[in-house]
Amino acid sequence: MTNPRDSGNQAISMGAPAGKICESAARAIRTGIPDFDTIYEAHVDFAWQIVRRMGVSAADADDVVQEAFVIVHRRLAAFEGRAAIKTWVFKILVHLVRHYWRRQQRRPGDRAGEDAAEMHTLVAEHDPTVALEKLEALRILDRLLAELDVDKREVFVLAEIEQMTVAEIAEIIEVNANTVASRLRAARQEFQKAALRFRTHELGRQP
Amino acid sequence: MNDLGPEAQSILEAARGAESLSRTDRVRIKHAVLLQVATLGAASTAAGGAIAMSVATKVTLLAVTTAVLSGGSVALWAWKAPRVAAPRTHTVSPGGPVVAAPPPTVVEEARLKSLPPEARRRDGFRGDGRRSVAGPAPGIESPSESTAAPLAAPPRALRSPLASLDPELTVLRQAQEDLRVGLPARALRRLAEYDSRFSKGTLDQERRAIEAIALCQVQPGPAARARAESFLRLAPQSPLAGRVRAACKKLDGTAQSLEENDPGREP
Repeated sequence: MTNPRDSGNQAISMGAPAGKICESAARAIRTGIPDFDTIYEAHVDFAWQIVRRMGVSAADADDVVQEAFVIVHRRLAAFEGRAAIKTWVFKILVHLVRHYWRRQQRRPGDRAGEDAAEMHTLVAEHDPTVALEKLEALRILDRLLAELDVDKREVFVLAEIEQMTVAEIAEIIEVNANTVASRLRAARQEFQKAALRFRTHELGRQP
Repeated sequence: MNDLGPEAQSILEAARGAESLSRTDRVRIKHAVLLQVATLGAASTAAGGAIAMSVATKVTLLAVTTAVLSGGSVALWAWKAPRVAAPRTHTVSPGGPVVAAPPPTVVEEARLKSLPPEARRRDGFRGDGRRSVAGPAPGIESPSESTAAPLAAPPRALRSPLASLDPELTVLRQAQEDLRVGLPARALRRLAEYDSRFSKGTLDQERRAIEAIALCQVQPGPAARARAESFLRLAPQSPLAGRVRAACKKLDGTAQSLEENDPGREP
């Protein structure tokens, strides 16, 4: 976070009116809504994860995350705190990812191969010893996630990777909790079957 | 009941926290966000003065906005940069979740912005669209060594990539200024000039937004509404979308459809 003493110096050097100096801090205290920097730092990693696991390529995930935080920045002044910040940010992300797929006119799974290739590029440039295992795990996860349709993948990622509750997911994707629960149940069953198939196949390949 | 068996659980567990943003990525994306906000879409929010941001962010925005208004194309460059010239440096964490890095300082953001291309590549940026290994950017100045002055200096190295867009940008900036001073008809005339000079201009999306806002101000009606809705369908997440909605929401029947296209609605 910004050092309060530095903040004051910067504001004074900008010639800001004294009343403006602590405007965002005062608003944060009054409303309990943090400022943009705090929100960005707290959520950008989650945002990146969710966008990637929802099947957006690494190349495009940057743009989606960037757009999301532009919206957060623009809307923060009007944000009333009716929802949790995390819920609000995730709602924006889900909307943008859906829009992304509409624009792409293909299913998230269609890109799994391309991303795997990108990851191998990354392996070659990273410490290969431990990172390879993690990359392999990610590759497997993305491959299995790609077998879920968009609706199931959405709830599965939010529940199993972001550890959100059914109620929170219902709020984010704007469908009722029963629908979320039934989608999640179906998604888990499909994922489990895919995982079993994968392990069986893997065992069959072992010498 | 959880239907996940041990096979599925182990796959999920192994991948948890494996991919994470590097500190350089966090700074770069944040920088791009602030620049995008500071360009055409920022005027309205900044004028309101109510947006909750830290003083550090305000300083950065002030510097960026200064660069834009002084005629530099840096903001526009950065706007387009994610696809063109600012490859990412995602990292894979070998040991699980990565502890959040400290927030970037203004100095770091300014430094990244003002680095020449070779230096940016040294810091993990590459010019070929591929990603490189993440790591802390070496040689970052400490806050105590900083001054605000370098922020406002036009980063010459960044001017060239989109220098050819300057003429387009100039016309659109004039049209936007017309809107700001309440002369939407003159803004529309500027757009006609834009069309005659730059058929299928690179900044067509921005042109459409300005046109929608101007029409909603000068002759509100079905045509204006159609332009606004068309723009929002095309670019609902544009930094200009909020301004188009604000300018056109008073038109009959438009408010609801504009709201439906708004990803920032609070749940």
